Amino acid sequence: MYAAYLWLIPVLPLIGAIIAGGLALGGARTAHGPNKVFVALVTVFMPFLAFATTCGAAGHLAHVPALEGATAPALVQDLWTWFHFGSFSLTFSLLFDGLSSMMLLFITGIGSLICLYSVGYMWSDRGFARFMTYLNLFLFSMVMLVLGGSLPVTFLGWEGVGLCSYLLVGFWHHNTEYNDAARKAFVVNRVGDLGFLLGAFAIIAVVGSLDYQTIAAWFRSGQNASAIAANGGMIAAAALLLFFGCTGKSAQIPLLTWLPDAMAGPTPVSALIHAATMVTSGVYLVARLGDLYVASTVPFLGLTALNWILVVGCATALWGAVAGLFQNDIKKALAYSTVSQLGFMFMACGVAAFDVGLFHVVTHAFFKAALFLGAGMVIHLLHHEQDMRKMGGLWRLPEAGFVLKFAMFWSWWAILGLPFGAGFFSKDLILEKLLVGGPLSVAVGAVAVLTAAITAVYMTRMMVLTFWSPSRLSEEAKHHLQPIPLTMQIPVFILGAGAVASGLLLWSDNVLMQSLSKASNGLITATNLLPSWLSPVLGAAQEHAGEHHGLLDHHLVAWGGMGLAFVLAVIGLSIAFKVWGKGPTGASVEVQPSSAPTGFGAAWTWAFDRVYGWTIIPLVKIVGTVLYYVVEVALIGLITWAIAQSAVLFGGGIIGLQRSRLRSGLAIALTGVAVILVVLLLAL
Amino acid sequence: MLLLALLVVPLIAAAIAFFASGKDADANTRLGLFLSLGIAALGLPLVTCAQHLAPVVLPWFTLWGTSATVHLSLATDGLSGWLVQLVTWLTPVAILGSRRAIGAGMREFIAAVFVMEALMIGALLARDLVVFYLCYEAMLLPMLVIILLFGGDERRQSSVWFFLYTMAGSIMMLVGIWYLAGKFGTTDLTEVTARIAALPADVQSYLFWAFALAFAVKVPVVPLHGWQARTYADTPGAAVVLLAGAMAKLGTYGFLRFVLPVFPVQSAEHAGLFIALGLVATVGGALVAIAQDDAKRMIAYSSLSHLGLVMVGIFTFDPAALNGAAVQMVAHGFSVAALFLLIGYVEARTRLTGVEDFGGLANQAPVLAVLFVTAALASAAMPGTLNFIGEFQLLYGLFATHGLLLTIVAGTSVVLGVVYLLILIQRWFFGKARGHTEPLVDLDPAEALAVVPLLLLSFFFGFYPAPVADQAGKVAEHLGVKAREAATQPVAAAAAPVSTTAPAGR
Repeated sequence: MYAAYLWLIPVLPLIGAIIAGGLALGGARTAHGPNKVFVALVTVFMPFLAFATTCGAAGHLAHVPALEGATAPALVQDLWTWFHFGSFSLTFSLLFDGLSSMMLLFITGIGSLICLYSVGYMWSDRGFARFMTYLNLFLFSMVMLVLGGSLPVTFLGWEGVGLCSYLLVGFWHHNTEYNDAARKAFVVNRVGDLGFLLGAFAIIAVVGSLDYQTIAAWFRSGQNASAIAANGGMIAAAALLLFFGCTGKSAQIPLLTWLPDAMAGPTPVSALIHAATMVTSGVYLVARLGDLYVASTVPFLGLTALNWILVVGCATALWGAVAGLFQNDIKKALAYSTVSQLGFMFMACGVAAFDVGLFHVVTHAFFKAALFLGAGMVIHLLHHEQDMRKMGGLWRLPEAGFVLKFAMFWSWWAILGLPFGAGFFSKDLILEKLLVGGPLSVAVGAVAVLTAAITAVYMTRMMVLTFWSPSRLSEEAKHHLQPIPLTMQIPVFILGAGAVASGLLLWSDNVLMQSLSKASNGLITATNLLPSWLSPVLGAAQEHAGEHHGLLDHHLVAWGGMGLAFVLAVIGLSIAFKVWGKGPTGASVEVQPSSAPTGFGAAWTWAFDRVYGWTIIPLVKIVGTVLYYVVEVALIGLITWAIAQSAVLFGGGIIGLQRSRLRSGLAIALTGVAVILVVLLLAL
Repeated sequence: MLLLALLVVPLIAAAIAFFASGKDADANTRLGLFLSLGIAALGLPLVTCAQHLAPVVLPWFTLWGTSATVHLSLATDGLSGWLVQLVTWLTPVAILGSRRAIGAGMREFIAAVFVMEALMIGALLARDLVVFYLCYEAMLLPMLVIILLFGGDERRQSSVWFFLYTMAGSIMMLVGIWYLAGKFGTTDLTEVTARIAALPADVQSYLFWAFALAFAVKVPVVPLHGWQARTYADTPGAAVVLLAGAMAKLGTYGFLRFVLPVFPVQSAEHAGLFIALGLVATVGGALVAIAQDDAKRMIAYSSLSHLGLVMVGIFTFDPAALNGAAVQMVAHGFSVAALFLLIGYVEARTRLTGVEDFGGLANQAPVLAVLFVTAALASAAMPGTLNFIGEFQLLYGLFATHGLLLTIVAGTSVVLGVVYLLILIQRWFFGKARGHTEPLVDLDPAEALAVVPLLLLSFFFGFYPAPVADQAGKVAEHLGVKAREAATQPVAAAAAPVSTTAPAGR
């Protein structure tokens, strides 16, 4: 019964977008713009309603048995046949199973909270209604992305979120720099999208379908073992091309350069799109196609598809963490942190621990959204100041308020992986999975442990510079602190609470919790909610990949990894307190007004931008211009001249027509054509 | 008889518009709109109940110098039907959208548009080579009238280029048709198709080129596209709607309707060449579009790129790609018409279309901005638009027949296709006011009304493409069958023993 209402989940925010968009367009030229209260009510209520619908469906899903022939219990709504050719047919279907329900719960949940926050944050902006329209449109696309039952439906959302990201990054479109950032985000994403499309083609060639359940069933069926072996190359191509698409959406090497620039968008956008939801859709896609990835065993340049994910995730995590050390802009620091954390999620996928990767997606969504929204509060408080060199001492500022400090502190605690925060469970689990694997996995795990230590350094640096170092606020800033409205406080409080509790509640089954549980006679229990929820969807793929022998003993790794991670986090945060405790280092605001990093930090931060700036971008420009002048102007001119000359040879063409007689002459010609045709018709 | 009516009624409408209307441009616009909507309604049965429409075959005249009797032979199927819809619905759109640009000359404009409409419908329904040729050739004249009367600064040179290119192409076709008429004593398409194999191979080859060149100019296929950017740039925006949205589709239509079924062997033989040229147009067109400093020229090169991909799809002979080619022809008709209309509105207000001529228009004209961005999305084949369905099938067909590498080459246009549109959007609509700094008047309801249905249709069919894909697409698939057989037969014979190990998909 619930399956028949699945369409409501995407359509509700779409209705919100349509209503708010109509009002925004209608009120664009009026003095006051549309009625803000009404717009706010609609655009916050609709996502909440979508969240409620998702909750209802998820509650129902727990009681649904697996359908016959399906791989996992699921609510499926087949809406209509979208398109078909040859023997290929595609149904526009919605698939609500363990994986998509988990994604939807936090997308609509956190999305609703961020819509509420935006009401406070954007209230006085001229484009308030437009902003809320885009947010609702984004939620529609994001819901389509995860609720789609096949790759093309996901692609609809995939490109949709890219579009909304473009519109929202360039929201303040009077600023050329912001527009450039938005355009860059769209184009880079589109490069990845091409990979997505080609990967989908390869899947059609192998499986003959793009439906997720069919693909999963096809790869799991023993009958297809020989077909899988015979099509190894094509399967590897599909896996790698789709992962290339993920590197675009999820800002991994080589397509990561757009995300830091995308911080040009208003802060709620950074929290929703560029931290919690859209950028994690790559992880979702890899997990969704987990059966494909574990079946892809043919190496490309010596590495299988999963190995590529592992290596790329590791390199990105390290690169982002190091770049995060040099940022002065509070949002840029968080952006590089997101790049790095996404790398962690992909590392988990790279060892086929998809549920662990998704666990980190959820915990990260809470603590990173809280960090971004907290940063937004700081920016709001200080009237759009984002440079951390001009902050400091906010902890003692009464105007900062309890909620801001609560959320920032516990999110910081969580991302460092300090005991019982959300990251303590999810990040340690990733490290554990890496360290129990084969040689490549252990090597990557070692880098990941180092990266976790760097994470502690740059995150603590951010907190120290903003809150715990001596105040560097100007007198003017101190006197004009902007109060933080309740609509911003409530969501941040909830997300901050999630940063504390989401790990404990969802998946706290590690060795420490098991010991505690034993010691307390079950008073404290370790939960397994998330993995048991996901296992019907992902279990088969993970088991398929799990048949290898690790180098290191599992028990040793579980305790040792946890201890090592804790010690390194403490060392990292101590370093940060020591170095930045008294204030920022490096170029001062007077020397360098822009918050951009300098020296080695600049070289590191913009390494990829420079590579593309020197290679692909000039290539496109030069080829385009050369083609235009050499081929279009010269060669085509020559051809035209040749045709013209031959026409002159045959009698002059119509060049001789006199301008003065043109009008009448052509009117006569026109009537002539009509008359001839009519006469000929009459002569039938 | 409906088919005959579709040919005659627009001509009567042209006469009414030209002789019976007064000096009042607004009244003329209303009259033209009324008549064109009536014709569009008349054409609807072509896609709703085409199976009940009996073909029209009336003996007409004997072709001079031959014994062949030309029949006014009209018939329809899904492909003709949908392209006729494109013509009949874009006509009211062009009339509604041109009021500001054309001004006092609406009477002549509307008359010319109706004549052109009749001839385009005639060409799409004709099943006799001579009838087709007459319509195909004569439709240039009303277009020339429009360009010369209402065009931009270099309209005379542009119209000469346009005229010479298309004439040079179709002269060959005329010779070919004459030869066929003399040889077979008939110019009926079915008859000619059935008997063409009897001709010597070299003659068939000459005939193939005579037809292919005529259509290649119209598409246009690189390097015969010299007329396109110039003509588009110097034609008023509302008329480019018909030129780019409908008339240019006659080229790809010609390949599907005449070249592939009549000359399957030669088509298969030269498929590689046309795919290569199509790829050059697809990628090169997009690259050159990025380098343009004029919006109309930019969209002209974007058209070159999109139709280049359609050509690639046609010459893969793959069912998916052929279906996609037909779908993309309709989809591109909607999206390019919307873009040119919107650019035409800006041009009608300011006489400017340069990329650097405007800035910050989103604040001055929000309706224009929203519609333009939406039209750009359709042009860039965002999922949810009909263009996506077309492009998906075209690229998949290429992938299935020619492998990953060529698909990556063609696929770069997917990326480049957003680059130039985003550049144009950013320059015109965002940032600060530049160049033309007087505030731009936003669209009036009539202007918006001309664009909105195109975009709604593009999105509606994007989610539900079955009406287009199952009618136009299926016919296109069918028209390519013989060429596909010709292309695969020698290969299949050689590779018969290993063909069982081919991948599962298709």
